[in-house]
Amino acid sequence: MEYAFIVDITKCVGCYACEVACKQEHNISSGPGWIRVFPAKTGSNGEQPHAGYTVTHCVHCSRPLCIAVCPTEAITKREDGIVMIHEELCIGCKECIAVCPLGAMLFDEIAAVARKCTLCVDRLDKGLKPACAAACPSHCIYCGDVNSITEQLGQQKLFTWYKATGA
Amino acid sequence: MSKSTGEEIVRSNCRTCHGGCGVLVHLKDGRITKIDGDPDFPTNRGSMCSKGLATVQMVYHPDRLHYPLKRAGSKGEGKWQRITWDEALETIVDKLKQVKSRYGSESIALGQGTGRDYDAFLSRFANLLGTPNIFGAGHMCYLSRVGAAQITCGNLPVCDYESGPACIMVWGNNQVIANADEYTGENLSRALSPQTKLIVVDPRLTCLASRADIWLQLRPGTDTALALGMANVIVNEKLYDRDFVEKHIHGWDEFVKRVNEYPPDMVEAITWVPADKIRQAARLYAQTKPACIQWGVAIEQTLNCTDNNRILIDLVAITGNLDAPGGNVFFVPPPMRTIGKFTYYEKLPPEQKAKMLGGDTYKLARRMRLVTPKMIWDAILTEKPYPIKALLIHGSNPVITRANAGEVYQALKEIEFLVVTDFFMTPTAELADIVLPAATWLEMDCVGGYLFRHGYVFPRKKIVQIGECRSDHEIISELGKRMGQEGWGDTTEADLDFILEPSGMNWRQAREKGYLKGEMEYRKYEKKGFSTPTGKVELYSTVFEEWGYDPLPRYREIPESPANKPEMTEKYPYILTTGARIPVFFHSEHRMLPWLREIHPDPTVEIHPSVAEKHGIKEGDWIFIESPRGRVRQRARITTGIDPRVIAAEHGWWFPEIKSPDHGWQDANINILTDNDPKDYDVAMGATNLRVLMCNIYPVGAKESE
Repeated sequence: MEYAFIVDITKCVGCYACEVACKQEHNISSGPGWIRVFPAKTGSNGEQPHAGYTVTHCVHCSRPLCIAVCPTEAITKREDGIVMIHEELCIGCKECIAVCPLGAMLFDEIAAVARKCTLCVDRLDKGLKPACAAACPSHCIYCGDVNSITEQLGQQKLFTWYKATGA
Repeated sequence: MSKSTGEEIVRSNCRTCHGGCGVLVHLKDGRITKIDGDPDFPTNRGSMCSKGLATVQMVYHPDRLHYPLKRAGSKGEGKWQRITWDEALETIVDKLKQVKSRYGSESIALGQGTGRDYDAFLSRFANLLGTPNIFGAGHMCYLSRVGAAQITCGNLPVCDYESGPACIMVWGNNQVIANADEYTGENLSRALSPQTKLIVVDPRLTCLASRADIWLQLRPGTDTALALGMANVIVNEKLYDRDFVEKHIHGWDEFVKRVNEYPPDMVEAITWVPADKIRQAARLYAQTKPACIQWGVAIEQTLNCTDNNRILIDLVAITGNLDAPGGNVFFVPPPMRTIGKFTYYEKLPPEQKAKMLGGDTYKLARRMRLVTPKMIWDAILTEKPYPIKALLIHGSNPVITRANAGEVYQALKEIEFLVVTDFFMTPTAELADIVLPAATWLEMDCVGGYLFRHGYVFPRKKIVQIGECRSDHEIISELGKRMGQEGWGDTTEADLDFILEPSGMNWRQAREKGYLKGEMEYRKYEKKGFSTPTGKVELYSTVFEEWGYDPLPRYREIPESPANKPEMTEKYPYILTTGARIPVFFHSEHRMLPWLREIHPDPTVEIHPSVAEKHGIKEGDWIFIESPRGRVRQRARITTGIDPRVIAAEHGWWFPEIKSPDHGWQDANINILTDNDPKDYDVAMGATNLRVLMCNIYPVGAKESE
C-alpha cells in the first residue's frame, strides 16, 4: 500500500495541537515543528469574509524534488511512499530546503542536518496514527492508504492535494 | 511497567483547563516522556489540545516552585527564603487564628481561579472556618450561568452533541480552540456534519463564524438585545413549541409582552445586526429540530450577565429543545455526594452567612456563595464594612485576570497576610507573605469534573512527585486539620472516597474504571417537572420577583459605550472588547512554556484595515491601547474580521521571562484598562464588565518600542 497524508484545511480550526504533538513526539524542545499552522489572510468569500488556516507539512510527494537535488542521496522514498532523510548521509547543504515547494524541509541548526516529517513511522508500525493526526480535535488530518483516503475525502479534495504537490 | 525498557503507560485525565480529556501518560524510568490522548476515552476520542500536550514542559519546567517560601524582604521585593512545609503551615495557621480572634472569621477570605476540582475543598475549609467570603471568577464565569439556570429551569442545560443536533447556535464562544466548560472542541467539531446548520453570534470572525450558515456580527455587549429580538420573531411568527409552552412555561403572557418591546428593527439599531438577519437566524434556530445553543463566558462578563443567560435558556425552552435529544439537556451525573453535603454548608453559622460581602446586594451571587472581587479589595483598602486581613489564593493570578488591575495590585500589596499557592512565581505570588508550591494534575489524586454538567466524573491519579509540591486538596485539608476543623478525612483519598461513596465505588475502584457516567434519561420534566418554585420553566422568575429584581430578562445598555457616553467618543472613539481565547494559553497561564509561547510570542490586538490605515499602523506594529484607567501595548493584527468601530485585545498577559518581581504585569495586561465600578455590575450576580469599554489606539513611538 501507499501512504497519503492530507490536511483538510477547510476543517482546520487553528488550535495548534498538531504542532505541539509533533514537537513532543520528536523531542523538538523549541523551534519549528514538522507541521505548522498559519492563519490565512482574512479574505472575502462572496458576502461573508473568510477566516481559515493553512497548514505546512511534508506531503511525501510522488516525485519529490528534495530527492532529485540531494547531492549525497541522503533522501529516499520508501515503497510505502514515505520520504525519509538518512541523517548520517546529510551534509547540511540545504539544497532540499531551497527546492521544497511547500516549505516542509527544515534545518536543525544544532545537528546541522535537514529534518522533516517522518510520518511518525514508529507509530505507524504500532498501528497508531501519526501524533498530529491522533491529537487533532477536528479530525482533519488524514493519514493512511491513498485509496481509502480518496474514498473518505472525495475526489475534489484529493485533486486539490495532487495539484498542490505537483504530482 | 516493562522491566527491560523501564517504559510504562498510565491512563489518566488531563486538567490543563477545567479538564476532562482522557490521556495516556508515557513514562521512562519514572519520568514522564510524553502525553497522548486516549483513543478509547469518550470525551476526547484521542484528541488533545496544545496546552494539554505541553504539560510535560510544565511539569519539568526549571522555574517551577518546588518548596514553600516565605518573604525575606519587603512586600513585592522578590526576596524569598525556603522553609519547610511544617513551618509554612504553622505560620499560616497561627496567623489565621490571630485574625479570627481579633477581627472574626469573616476577615479571612479565600480566592481561587478557574474551577479546578478543589473548589469543594476550599468551600469546605471556608465553611468550617466560619467565613462566607470566597471569591474567584465564578461571578462572571460559568457559576453565573448555573445560577441563572437554577432559577429559570432548575439546572444548566448543555448541548447534547452525542444525539446529533441538526442546528447548532454558537453564541459568544469559540469552543473549538477554547477551554472546555463541559465539552471539548472535539465534540462540537464532530457534531458539525456538512448537513448541520450553524449559526454563530460573535463580534469577531472566528473560524466557526466563517463556516457558519449565518454569522451575526453584533456590537460587543448587546447579546441580550439580540436574543430578545430573536425571541420576538419566534413568538410573533408562532415558531415556538405550543405544546411545551402550554404545559411547562410559567409567565408566557408577561414574556410575550416583554419581547414585544424588542422588535427586530429596534434590535438592529442596538446591535448593528440587520433586522432581516435576526429574523433568518431566529427562523433557522426555531425551525430546525433538534437544535442546541452552545454559549460561553463572553456574554457573562457584562452587566447583562444573568439576563443574558436567562434569555438564552428561554430560547431553548420555548422551541421545545430543553432536555430533548440533540437539544440542551440535563445530563444525569453518576451518584455522588452533593457539593452542599461535601462542603458542610450547614455548618456555616447563619450570622456568618449574613456577613458575606455584597450578599445583600447581589442575591444570586449569595446563593452561589461567590463574592464579587471588588468587595474584597474594598474591604482590604477601606476596612468597610469590616476589614479583610488575611487572604489565601489558590491557582489564581488576580493582578492579571481581575478588572482594574491597578486596584487589585494595591489591595494585595496592602493586605496584612497573603498566601498564594501556584505552580510559578506569578506577579500575584510576588506580593505574598507565604508562597506554596502546587502540584499539577500529574502529581495528584483527585476527582475531576465534580462540578460540571456533562454527566461524567474523572478520577485522576498521582503519577510523579516534583520537588515538595502538594495538591491544593492536600494543602487545604491539612490546613483545616491544623485549624482544628472536624470533618476532614484522615487522608485526601478518604475525602475522595467520601465524594464517590454513593456510586458504590471508592476512589481506587473508580480510578481503575477510568470514568463514571450517569444513566441518561431525556425529558425528565414530564415526570418530575422542573426544579423551580412553580415546577415550570420560569420565563417570569418568581425568585427574582421575591428578591426585588425584574422577573423578566431585559437589555441594559453597556455603561461605557458610545450610546451611553457620547461625550467620551472624541477621546475614546473605539469600542474595546477583550478576552477572546488564545488557543495555546489558558488565561494567564503557560507563557513560560516554549512549545506554546513560540506559537504565540506576543500579545496581539485585532484592528480593521481602515483603522490601521487611519493611524498609520502596519501588521505586527506595537500599538498603545488606552482607556480612562491607563494604557497598555500589544501588537496589531490587521483583519477584516472585526468591525471598524471595534478593537479586540487579548487578556492574561504577563512576562515570566522578565525576572524582576513585577514580571511586566503593567505592560500588556488588558485589565489595567478595565473598570470595576459596582454601579456597572450585573444586579443579581455582581458580574464585572470585562468585555466592553471605550478606548483609543495609537502607534508606539519608535523610541518607546525599543
